[in-house]
This record gives sequence, structure tokens and C-alpha cells, in this order.
Amino acid sequence: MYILGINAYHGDASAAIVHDGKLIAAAEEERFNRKKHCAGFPTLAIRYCLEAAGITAAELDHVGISRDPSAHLHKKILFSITRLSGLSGLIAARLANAAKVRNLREELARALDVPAESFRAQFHNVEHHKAHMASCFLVSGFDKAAILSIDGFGDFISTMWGCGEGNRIEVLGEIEYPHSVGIVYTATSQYLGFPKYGDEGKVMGLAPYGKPRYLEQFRDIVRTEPNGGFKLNLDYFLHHSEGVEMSWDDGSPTIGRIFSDKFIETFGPARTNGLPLASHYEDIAASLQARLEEVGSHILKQLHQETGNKRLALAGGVAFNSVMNGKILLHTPFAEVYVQPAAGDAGTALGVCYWIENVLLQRPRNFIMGHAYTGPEYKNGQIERVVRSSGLKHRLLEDAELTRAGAQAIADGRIVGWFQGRMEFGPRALGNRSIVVDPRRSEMKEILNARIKKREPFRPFAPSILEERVAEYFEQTHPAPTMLMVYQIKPEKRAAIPAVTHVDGSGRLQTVSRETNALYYELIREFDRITGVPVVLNTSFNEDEPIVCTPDQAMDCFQRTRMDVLFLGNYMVER
Amino acid sequence: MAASVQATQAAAQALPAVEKPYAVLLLPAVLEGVPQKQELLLPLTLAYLLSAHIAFRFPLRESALAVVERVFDNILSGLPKESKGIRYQSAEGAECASVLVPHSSLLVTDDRGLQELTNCHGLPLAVISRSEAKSSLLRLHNLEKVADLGLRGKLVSCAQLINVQSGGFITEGPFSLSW
Repeated sequence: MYILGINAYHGDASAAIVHDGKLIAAAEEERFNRKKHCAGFPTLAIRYCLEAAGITAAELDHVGISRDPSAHLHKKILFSITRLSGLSGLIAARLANAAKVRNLREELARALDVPAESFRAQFHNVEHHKAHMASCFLVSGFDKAAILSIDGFGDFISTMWGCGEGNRIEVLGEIEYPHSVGIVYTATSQYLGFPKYGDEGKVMGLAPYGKPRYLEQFRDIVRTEPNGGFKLNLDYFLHHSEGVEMSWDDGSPTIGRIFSDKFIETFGPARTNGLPLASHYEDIAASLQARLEEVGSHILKQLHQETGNKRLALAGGVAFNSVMNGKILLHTPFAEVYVQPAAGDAGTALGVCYWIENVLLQRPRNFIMGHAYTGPEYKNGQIERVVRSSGLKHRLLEDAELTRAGAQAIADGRIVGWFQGRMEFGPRALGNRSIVVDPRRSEMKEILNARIKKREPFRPFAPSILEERVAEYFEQTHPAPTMLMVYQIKPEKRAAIPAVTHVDGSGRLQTVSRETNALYYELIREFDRITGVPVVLNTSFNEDEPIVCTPDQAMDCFQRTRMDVLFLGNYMVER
Repeated sequence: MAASVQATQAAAQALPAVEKPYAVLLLPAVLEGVPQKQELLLPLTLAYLLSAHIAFRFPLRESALAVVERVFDNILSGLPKESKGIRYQSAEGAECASVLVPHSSLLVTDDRGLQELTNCHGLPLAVISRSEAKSSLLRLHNLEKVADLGLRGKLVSCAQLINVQSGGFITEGPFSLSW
């Protein structure tokens, strides 16, 4: 049985395909069409999934999308008519006239250029947060767990929690529009001069530079409630009253201003993008992050109390806040946390597949998502063409030579492009579409930024570490294979890996095991043999663009930037 | 609901007009037994919103009352109570409907069987139905007979919002609701 899951008309459009319960492929549309966080219909990702499964769309048994426009319909109507009184007619007219509305069957047929009648599949709408919950719990390997889905909004809900057991997911609570910690983070990021979709991660990186001097103000902005929930002080926001201009065209999503003038009255003038980051703004970022962590703990403690379970499956855009995630094990009773690599909206495509497979059809759970390598891969034969046409010096190496040469190049202080195997699903490069450098060299951060990444200087770079050596370097040892946990680096080790030690002594680590990525594991092990340090700096293989997908894109990025050496499959390419 | 349609026709001639205009919320589920919460959410929401402009009569069996009350509590939680009232009409379903409907100014129902009859009478009608994809739709009939422009506007707004949300996916922006 083949099931296709789709996330469309939302940020990070994506597709996933499952065959008899096993995940065959999953990828974001942005990797194919090269538009960051693409929010349209994932035509190319769907084509890739079908190709990976070796079938046509006519052979699909089920197709689902992680949106259910009819979910919470009465709440949407109530909200529009009562809260937006006077505007309701305008908004209704706008929805009806300005927006294009399509249904999934027709849209899929149009995208694949086939007649809609050719589909034998059943079509399903899965509510957004239920797809998130399915995307983490059903592939976690936990038979029983507490589940939290937390993001901006989807199907009128910002936060949903519950418990999973076997094939069952029970929703225990939810928080409705317009209350959302995701929206608070986005609004504050806009205020701080980071207005793009996905810029919230920058603010998380900025926070450790500041002091949470405005925590009380943020406690007023997000007010926790005794039942584990929270409410926003809506005076600080526009999304509930005027509506926020959002554009979800086929390109990158854009969001209008969410914070109100009350934000400016409280914190002073908003920072214009590009202006220097005064300590005042760093303190606001620190306060926001501190409040997010408080609210996260508040929800999770209640969730633990309700479920009595020490295992947690976590998803939703807020689950990309790896600083918050890292503190879950410290500040809540949870002892094990599973964060699916594409925890954001892209992952809902995966969730749709497993919601249909395990919950709707009640077929047995037989898949654990232990890694993120579900995207396209290219054989050496395909890579050879790219390498030869580049005209650059190259050598074909055996795997053992490849990792030795790669590790030596890193140890020599060279910037290494590492393109191997299947592309990662989710925003993190995890050793298959990575740029890898020596973390012992403090200057590497500046060199990377100057020569390739062009990122804001305050943003940290992340370490990949051999799983069995984590305890030597980090204060916590819970596995973090998807780079979605930030732990404190042991004080005595910080000087050894300065390029991946953030200003507060933390690191957003990726724990690497032989089972999940043998080649990358060997690369780090070789680096350890040479240097005595089982850690490399790992950043995504891109230059202000989506992570590279194909060998052509990798070669183009290599030639465009000042990377030193490229390991493209088994080819070592040098300038 | 065929029985209630016939009863409505028969009773239409006999009953005197009620003085104040009122609307009727007619749901077969509450006349026939204990309804599901899901089938009440949208009709009760509509009745509440429209009741800001016109009083409602809501015939139901006593067995349905507890569920209806719970759903209303759920809907109204935290909302301003702007309403001219929704009066439960405790009576046997078919008979009660037949008395109320002919003299009403608006009928809100999810009973498609009533549509033909009320169209004949020219009664303004809001019919909640299900699309092929099992999502809700709201169809308006004889809207020009609704004299209260506020009520008419709200009916149109509700219909547009429901039908756009239910009809499929909004695939291109810009639009103003981050749902």
C-alpha cells in the first residue's frame, strides 16, 4: 500500500511517501525549486517521491494533506464575525475573491499533468496539529508517550497536546487562535529586525548575548494559565484585530507586521533590519527566549502530570528551538525526548502518511525514523559527469581513503564541502549536505562567514560529535542525532572547540553514530585520530539559498564560494 | 424529515402570525433523538451569531437538551452575549416545526428536504449541507426577502467564510487571516 503525504500552501511545502509502513522518501519543495521555505504546492517533491517509490500517481492508494479547512470551522466563523466586527464582510469578500481556492485531487492532477480520474487513491484531510503529532509519535519508536505539537498556527490551533499509545493518539488539550507562542517569537523577531520567514532561529542565537531584563514584560505578554495553557496579552499584537497580511504564493512566504504599537511603547523603537544590534535588543531576545522556556516547561509539566509518561514526542515549528529542547530534560520530569528531524511544517507530510497508515487504517506501526536521510541520492556515475565538466582537479577515492583525506583536509584548516548519500529531510544538514571545518580553530567562524555563509556574526556554528564521546564534551548525554538540542559544553572543553562554542558556553550538537551515518561517523573518527578531538564543525552546504540537493548545485556552490575542497560522492575535487 | 414537511404544509394555513419576527433553527438531529456534538457546532454557532439581529426559536426534544446546552456553553465561552435570544421550543418535533416555520422570517436548517417547500413559500432560508469532501457549506435562498440589512450582511459573511474554508485550500495570497 502506497500513501503520499503532502504539506502545501503553508511554509516549507513538502511531500513524503510510505510503502507498507516504511518511509521511502521525504523532501521539501525548496530543495528542488530553490525558493527558500517555498509555500506553494510541492510538485517537484511529489514527483521525486513517486520516482523514489518507482510508481505513478495512479498507483497511490491514499493521498493526504496536512490541512483540514473544515476543522474548527465554527471557531473560525465565530472569531471572524465577533472579533473582527465591521471587518468581517471585508475579510469574507477578500477570502472569496482575492484568494484562489482549489481542492487536493484537482491540484494534484494539475501538478502532475494527469487526469484527476486517473487516481484510484482515497483523498484525506488531516488536521494540521494531528499531522504534527503523528509525525513525531508514530515514528519515534515509543510505544507510549506524551506528545506536544507547538507552532504558529495551523487549522486555527497553535498548540495541541495529548498522549499516544500504540496506534492511538488522544488529544488532551489545545490552544486556539489567536494565542500562540510561535506568533510571539515571530512578532518579536520582526521587532528585532529579522522579518523573514524562519528568522526566529537567528533570535534564538542572539539571546545568549543579552540578559533577560524584560522577562516581566514578556510574562505580561504571554500569561500562563493553571491548566498548562497560556494566553497572549493581545494588546501587543495585530494578528487578531487587523489581520496580518500573509502571502503564500508559490515563492517564499512573507508575513506582514504582527507586533502592535504597544510593543514599541513598551520596548522602544523597533530595530530596522541591518542596523547594529544594541545590547537593548539582545536583552529583549534573551527575555523572549527565557519566557519561551518558562512557558514550554509550564506546558510540559502539566502534560507529564496528565499522562504520567516520561517519554515525550515533540513537533511543530517551536520544536526547532533547540535551546528550549535541551532544557526539557533539565527542567521537566521527562527523561526521553524524540524530536523528528523535520519538526516544522515540512514534517507534517510525514505525519499525514502515518496518520493514515496507523491511525485511520489501523495498520501496525513498523517504522522508526532514526535519521533524516530520506532525500535524493546520486551515484558516482552521475557525479562523474559533473566533476569532469567542471574542469577541476579531481580524484576517485575508496571510502576509507575518502574519510582519511577529508579528515586531513579539515585538520589542515581547509573548508570542506561534504556531499554524500541521501539528502536530509528538515532544515539541518547532518553530514550528507554539509560544509565541515575544524572546530579547534577559533578563527573558523569568521573565515566561514567571510568566504561562504555571510551570516550575522552573532550566530553560532554547530558541532557534530561521535555519539559515544558526548559525555567527554557536554554536560548532557541524551542523543541528539537531528541537531535539535542545545547542551552546555563542559567548561574544560570549551577552549578545545572554540569555533562551535557559543557565547554562553553552549553548543547545538549532532550526535553521530555509525548506524545512522557510517561515512560521516568515519570522517569524524579519522579527524579524532589525527587531532584527538572527536568533533567537527558542521554547517549546511549552501550560500544564502536552500541546502544543495544535486551534485550540480553542490559544484556550483563550491565554485561560487571560496570553499577549499569538495568531496562529491567518492570524488575529491580541488581548485 | 418528510413527515415534518407535510405537517408544515398542512399547518401553514391554520396558524396566526406571531407578532415579532423570529427565525427558526430546525435540526432533524435534535428532533429525532440525542445528537452528536459535531453536528451541532456549526448550526448553533450560526444561530448565536444571527440572533444578534433576530430572535430564534429552536424546537428540540428534551432528550437533546443536555447536549445542546453543553455545545452552547462551549461555543459561547468567552464571547460577548449579543443576542436577542434563542428560545428552546420543547415539543414533539414534527408538530412544533409545522407551527413555527410558516410564520418565521428566516429558517436555518440542515434538512435539505425543507428547501423545496420554503422556496415555494419564498421564506428566506439558510441551508447547511455537506460537500463531497464532507466539509460544510452554507447555501442562502430568498435572501432578498430579509429586510434587516444587518442580518442580511451577516448571513452573507457567514456563507462566504464557511464556503471558502470548506471548498478547498486557499492557494495564493495575499489574505489576512493566518489560519
